[in-house]
Amino acid sequence: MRQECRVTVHEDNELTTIEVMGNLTAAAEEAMDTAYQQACRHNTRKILTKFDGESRINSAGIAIMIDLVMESREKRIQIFVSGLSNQNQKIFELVGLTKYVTVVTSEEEVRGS
Amino acid sequence: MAEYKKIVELSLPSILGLELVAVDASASLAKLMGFSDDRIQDLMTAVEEACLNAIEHGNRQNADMKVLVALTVDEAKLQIDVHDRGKTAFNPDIKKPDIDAKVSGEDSRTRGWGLFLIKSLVDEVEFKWSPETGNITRMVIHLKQPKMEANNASGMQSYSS
Repeated sequence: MRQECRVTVHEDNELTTIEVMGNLTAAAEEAMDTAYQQACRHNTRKILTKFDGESRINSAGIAIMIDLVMESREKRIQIFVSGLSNQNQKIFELVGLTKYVTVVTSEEEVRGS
Repeated sequence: MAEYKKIVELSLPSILGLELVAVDASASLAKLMGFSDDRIQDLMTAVEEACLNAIEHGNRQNADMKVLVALTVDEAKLQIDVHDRGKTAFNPDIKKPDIDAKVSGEDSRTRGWGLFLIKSLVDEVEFKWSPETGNITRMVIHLKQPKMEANNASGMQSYSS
């Protein structure tokens, strides 16, 4: 039994969005990696990881986000995150991820940054 | 009249995903006891991580091995014991993982956040292990949070092994 997580990528000239529907757990690792590789194909400078507001993010999900941050630093890509529940935001702060990703409330915030 | 302890017990095969059954049961019980939504969310995260440890590291995802979860209701606190049959003890002395080292590649393990999250989110945590019994992770949350120990981001709650 694995938890369903659907990951899709949307691109335009300015911004690439990785949309995560469902829980970010070990089961989502491959889908997230594929989405990230796709997102990087177009020389993007900004990636928004958009959660659905109800997703659970566990310790394996945190590790996935750290992997994403590591790769992005090498490629000089800025990572933004939106749609975090209060609990997920608390977890991001606890582990220190907020040092490396910018938490935003909307896509427009990223476009205007 | 005999006084009964209110204990809810779950027996879960060691299959990833089933930890959410324990998460939901904990949340339901905490809600009945009157815990706030924030505290219930903390508990849900801690129970999820404890069960994941038991499934992945304790029982090594052997579906024939059970993770036993006991939720004990007390007047002012909820205690959750997560029990696996692991042959090695979890390391209870774990410090807060260093995200800078992980991001820079100095520490190649990007995982390893589970015990830290547990310690950060519950009021008390205790890790016990013996070769006969395996690991028991005991977590307690109080209806009234003890001073200095609640939600301590440095993970300095009391615990023993």
